Amino acid sequence: MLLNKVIRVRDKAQAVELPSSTVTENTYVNVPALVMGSEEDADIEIDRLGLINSSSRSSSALAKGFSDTDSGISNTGSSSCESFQSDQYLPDPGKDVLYDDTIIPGTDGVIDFDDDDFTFKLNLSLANLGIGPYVSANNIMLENTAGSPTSTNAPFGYGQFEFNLDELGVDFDIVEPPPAFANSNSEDEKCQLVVDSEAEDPNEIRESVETHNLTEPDVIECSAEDELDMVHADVNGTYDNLDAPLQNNGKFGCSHERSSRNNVGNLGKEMRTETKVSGASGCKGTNNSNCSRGNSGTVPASAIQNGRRHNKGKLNGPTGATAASSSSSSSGKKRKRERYEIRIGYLCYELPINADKHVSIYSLQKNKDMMEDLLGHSKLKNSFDPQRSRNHMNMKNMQDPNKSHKPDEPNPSLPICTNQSPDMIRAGRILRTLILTRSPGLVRDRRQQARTFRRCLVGAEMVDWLLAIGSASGIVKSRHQATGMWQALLEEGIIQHVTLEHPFRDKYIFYRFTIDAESELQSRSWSRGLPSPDDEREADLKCPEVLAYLAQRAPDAIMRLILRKPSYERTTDDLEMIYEELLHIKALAHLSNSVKRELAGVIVFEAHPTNGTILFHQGDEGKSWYIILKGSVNVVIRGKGAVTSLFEGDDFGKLALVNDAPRAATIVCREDNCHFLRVDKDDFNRILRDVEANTVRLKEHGQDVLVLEKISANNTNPYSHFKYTVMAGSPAKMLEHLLETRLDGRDRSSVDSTGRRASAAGDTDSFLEEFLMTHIIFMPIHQLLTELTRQYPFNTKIDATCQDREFLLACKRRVVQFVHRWATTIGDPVFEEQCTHTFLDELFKEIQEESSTSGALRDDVNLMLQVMDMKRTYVDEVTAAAGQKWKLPPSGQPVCLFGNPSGNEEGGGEATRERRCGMRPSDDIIFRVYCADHTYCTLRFPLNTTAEGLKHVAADKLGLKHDDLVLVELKSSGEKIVFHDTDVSIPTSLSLNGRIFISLKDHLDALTCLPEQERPTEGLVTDLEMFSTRELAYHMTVLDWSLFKCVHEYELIYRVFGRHHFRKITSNLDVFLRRFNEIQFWVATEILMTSNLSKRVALFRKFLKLAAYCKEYQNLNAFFAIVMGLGNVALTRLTQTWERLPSKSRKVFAEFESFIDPSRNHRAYRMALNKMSPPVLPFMPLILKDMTFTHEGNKTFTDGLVSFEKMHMLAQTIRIMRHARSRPLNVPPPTPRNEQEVKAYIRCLRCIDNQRVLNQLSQKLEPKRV
Amino acid sequence: MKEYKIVVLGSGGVGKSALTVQFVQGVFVEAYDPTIEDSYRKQIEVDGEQCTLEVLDTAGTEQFTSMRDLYMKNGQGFVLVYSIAAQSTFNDLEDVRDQILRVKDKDRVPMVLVGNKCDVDDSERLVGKDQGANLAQKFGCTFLESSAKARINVSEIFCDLVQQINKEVVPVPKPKKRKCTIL
Repeated sequence: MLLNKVIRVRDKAQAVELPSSTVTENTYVNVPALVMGSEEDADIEIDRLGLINSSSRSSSALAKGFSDTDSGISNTGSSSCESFQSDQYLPDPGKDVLYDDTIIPGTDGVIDFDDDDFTFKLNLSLANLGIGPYVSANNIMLENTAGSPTSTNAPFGYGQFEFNLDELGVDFDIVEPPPAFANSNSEDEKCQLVVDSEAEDPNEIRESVETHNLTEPDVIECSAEDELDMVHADVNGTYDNLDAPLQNNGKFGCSHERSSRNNVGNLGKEMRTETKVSGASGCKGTNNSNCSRGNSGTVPASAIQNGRRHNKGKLNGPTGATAASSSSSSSGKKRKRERYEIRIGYLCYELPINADKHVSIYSLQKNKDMMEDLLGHSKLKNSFDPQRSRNHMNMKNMQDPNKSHKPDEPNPSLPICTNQSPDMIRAGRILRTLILTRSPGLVRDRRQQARTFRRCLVGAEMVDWLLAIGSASGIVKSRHQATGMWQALLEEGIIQHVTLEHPFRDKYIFYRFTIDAESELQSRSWSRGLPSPDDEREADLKCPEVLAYLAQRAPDAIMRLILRKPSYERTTDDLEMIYEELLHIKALAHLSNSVKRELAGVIVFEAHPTNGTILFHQGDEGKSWYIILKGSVNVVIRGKGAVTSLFEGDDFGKLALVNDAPRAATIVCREDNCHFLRVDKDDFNRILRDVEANTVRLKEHGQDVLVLEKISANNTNPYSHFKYTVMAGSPAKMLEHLLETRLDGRDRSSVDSTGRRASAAGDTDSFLEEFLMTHIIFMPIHQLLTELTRQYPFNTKIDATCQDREFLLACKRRVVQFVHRWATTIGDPVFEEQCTHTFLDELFKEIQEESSTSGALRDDVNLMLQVMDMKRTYVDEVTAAAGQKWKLPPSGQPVCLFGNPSGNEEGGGEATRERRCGMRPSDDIIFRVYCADHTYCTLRFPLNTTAEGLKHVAADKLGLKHDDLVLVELKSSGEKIVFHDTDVSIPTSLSLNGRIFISLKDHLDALTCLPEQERPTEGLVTDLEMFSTRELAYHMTVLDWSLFKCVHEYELIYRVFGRHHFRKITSNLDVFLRRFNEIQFWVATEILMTSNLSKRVALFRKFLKLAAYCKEYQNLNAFFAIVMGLGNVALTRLTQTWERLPSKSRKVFAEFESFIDPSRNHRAYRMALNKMSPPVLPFMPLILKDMTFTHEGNKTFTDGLVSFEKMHMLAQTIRIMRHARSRPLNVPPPTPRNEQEVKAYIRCLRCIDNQRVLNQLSQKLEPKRV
Repeated sequence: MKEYKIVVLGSGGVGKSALTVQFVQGVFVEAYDPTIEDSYRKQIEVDGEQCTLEVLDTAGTEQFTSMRDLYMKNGQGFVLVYSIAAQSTFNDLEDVRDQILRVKDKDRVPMVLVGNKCDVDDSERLVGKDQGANLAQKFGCTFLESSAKARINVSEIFCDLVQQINKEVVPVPKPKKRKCTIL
């Protein structure tokens, strides 16, 4: 009989029609289309039956209706309702009102509702996931069971089917596999019945299946139904067909033989199918399998969830539906019914069966752990056939990214703590007592889906009850609030959903008090949990108090409930609530409201009940950003222990997300019941990455240790993947950060291109270089070495079994790489300290041992070998240069190489020898120290002798016996500069014609210049016109270059920060800077010493040309010196000379002057310099000025942290120098004419550095007109 | 907008740079990068008129007298700074002033004499206020005691200079003189 039913299901988005032809009396079709996240109830019309039409119905009404077991029709309702509503995967009963309606009993005679054994099963699992609705071929198949068996003409749909179980004699779910799996070609259709099994090998399953082959048709294996984790598959059927070997179904690209549960679940829902199989009468089975009643049996493929390893067995044979239908016959109402749970995942193993009808039975598992695993498996998501998804409208929801589940999906149905608080326990006890005494009817054993849940309550009734008792006192005002109160109890584990799968809902869902559940397990006795009269009295007394307490807890509980919902389940109201909550969170305060609104959709609540829980480990990949809502965590760093604690309102975990760096620390809960808000990486990157705060602060022991700032977008180095740059930090932490993030700890021999890319990115990041260039300011070498020693796991033998092997190896590699970069970047100063030698030797030994014993770190040995080579070269050079002497001749000319014990001096005493390293601290220098009476003594001391040391010896030699002596430089201008006692490299720091004097502090003013200081220095007196200007410029540039090359970058720092702080010599820099003054005064002196006007003009022009050549050679230092010399006021007043100067020359000079114009911070020069490629001799005084102002304008330490921003700026300036020298001077020498003379000449320039004298000369040449 | 170039002069260690940074950067604690174009420029309002000041400061380059001369040549107003805690820095200033006049070839230039570090204890003070005042009188310029650290009189120095420059009667260039030369 065809009933011509049309079932239409409408909801906001969907409407489905089942053609009447597909629906038969035997086909009870569940159309679960409405579960689309819509809160709206669906309208269901079922035409021509007239039995059902339903629309919005309140859950309480449902609950009531179902609880009534006496009325005829409601009996039906009850029966079905029980099974539907109770199922965990069912959507809210309130909105899914169709469930009780869509199952339409054909005739009472067919379905015996009186029989307790009969259960309708409606599997909405796929629908719940938005897969349904479906029009299944199976329906047709079943319909056709009465007639000719035909294969389906409709494609397999998704979803599940209800059969007239009574007729079939079996009730179970048939769910088609998802499209990729279900082949629409019906002939190839597979039936999957996947059974969890402990057995590892599919064959074992098969064996076990076979050995359990029973002959008793109606006997069904039974297992503890209450044991949730136990899963039994019971298939009533024959297993004669189990001939095909079990095989792994690869259709999903499943690589998880051993944990095929992974595959179950991108659907993300925990599901369970309860299948009952039994013999049944009236089945019109047309199963063409060769099974018969006689050999039908049960297959108790008992699959007990055992830890995390599961195998899914594949049964090759008719599945329950068809098998049952074939075997069902006579049992009738006397059939023995048992319940089984089948935990089935599709796609695990497939069984080709002989039956025409192919159905798959599947259910999703409920185990949370499993879910997490499988959710992480993304292949599955992609495995759905896209075409299918187009065919099935709900499929799109499957693929909706919002629905894709993330790992660690919080589950609002689980408690958030392990130990209930005493208040909550009391509240729970009192409410239970009240319920048991006042409304004992609420607590009943209830049946649902053929399972009995003892002593449970219905969510909606609980709300009713609470509202009833609470509204009187005015405490409980709304259902919403009541729901929150119950959820508060659920959160602490006082009540629970019967199968722990729902948070508290105002729905027809079963809950019970946890103590009842416990007592149920312990004993079946009811009485144990019954309240005593004392309890009753207390409950009556404390009722208002407890309600008030719960009411107070309710809002937070609701909030947490919402925050634990997956984002796609959040309603507009939910989002609004979350948003309002987020407004109060400190860590988000800086974010715009629109960002907070976005966050509301993705931010989740995470609770960690136990102290000591680890959120993530150092070195892990960063997955989430956390904000502490409650509680505190410890930040633990390897080798350091707990470095700091973070408290409510603090946030952490951002850095690893933004920088794609490994976690810098391990986070451990510091107390029980820590609550967090969490934003996962993808969401973080999508929403926050670009708007995230500019500053990240890392704390240790309550103090900031590292402050990072986001690199502004327009400033981002495209080659650098670092998004944050260090702004400040403690020296040790900065080093640690540097090692962790800027050096590749991986084994380079085994790292492919990605590793190289990483290291290339590291190279473009300037942090390491800047640190190396400036660390002496805040972290002297010995301190750096101490810290490196701490970072290097010395004496830690790494064997292959060691758990931390990789970590330790990475630490070692990083230190070695750091040392290598250090030595290559900085050079000599690294080796100047004896402690470096000790450290390097030790490190080298350690690395060698490590390499020979474990075979690891081979590359690093090579790096170390390079460093050791450099060290050896340094030592050799120092030894070779031992006793090297420098001279500061009394005439004040620049220091000359005086002697070299190796005697390999070339060119007849000329110091053309490559002065690779310039002066060393230990080199001796010979100089004079004068007294006020112009007597002097000559001293020879190493350059690094302090002023104090010199003073004592000089005083001794000169017979001065006073305590109050000072060493002072007396410039030719009469200016006096007193040396600090700790100053070093005194002799080289003198001005051109300055002299060192020793004097009583109080008699400084009495010092007078030596007569020779007034005169020009003893330069060579030559007619400059003899020399080719180009040749002059060339040799000047070569000399300047050799001086410039000797200057170590550190000398700039020593000088600007005060060399006495470092006790390091700045001699090479001094000499180079002196050269600037020398040239400048030389120019003025030469012109002023030329009394003939026309010669003077000619000389002036020659100097202009010289400047032009210097500029051409990119010797900007000399260029500035010459132009500035020509601009000396003693020259500019020589009007006669100027007037005789050709206008062209005047124009050239004006042009040069505009180049050296200081306006807009030397704009002209800076722009020109930027365009020049090395080698360049930069204008040194400006570098000094920049360094000075960077130093003076910025603090080195702020709040106890090194201001790395300052270091960065210093490094930028140092880098100008570094860049300028990055290529060797390689200019073609001009045709030599008088090379030797020129060389000799430019080494010894004649100059008067006393402006007064120059002015006098100028006056004499061209007296001021009156 | 009018632009003024102010030269800050004085021996090393008198706190010139601190004064300059304090003036240019104000109270903000942001990092001061001296290598950018505007590092030494600041807009201020003097007598209701907006003007831009560019400070030429020789700090760090004291040993290069030619640098000082270059700045002098370019500057319009001069800040002569000494430290009240170091007599010699005070004594050096007369030479500096002579040099300015020579470079500018004038008898008088807009100038402020500044005794810096006035925040130090009296026990450390070596140059009395009256000494400063006397010297300023001799120079014919304004005298101020300032402290970059305590932000005392910092902007006053520059405002005063701008006023002085504004007051300075710009003498009409003497074409006569030039003519004479030609003759």
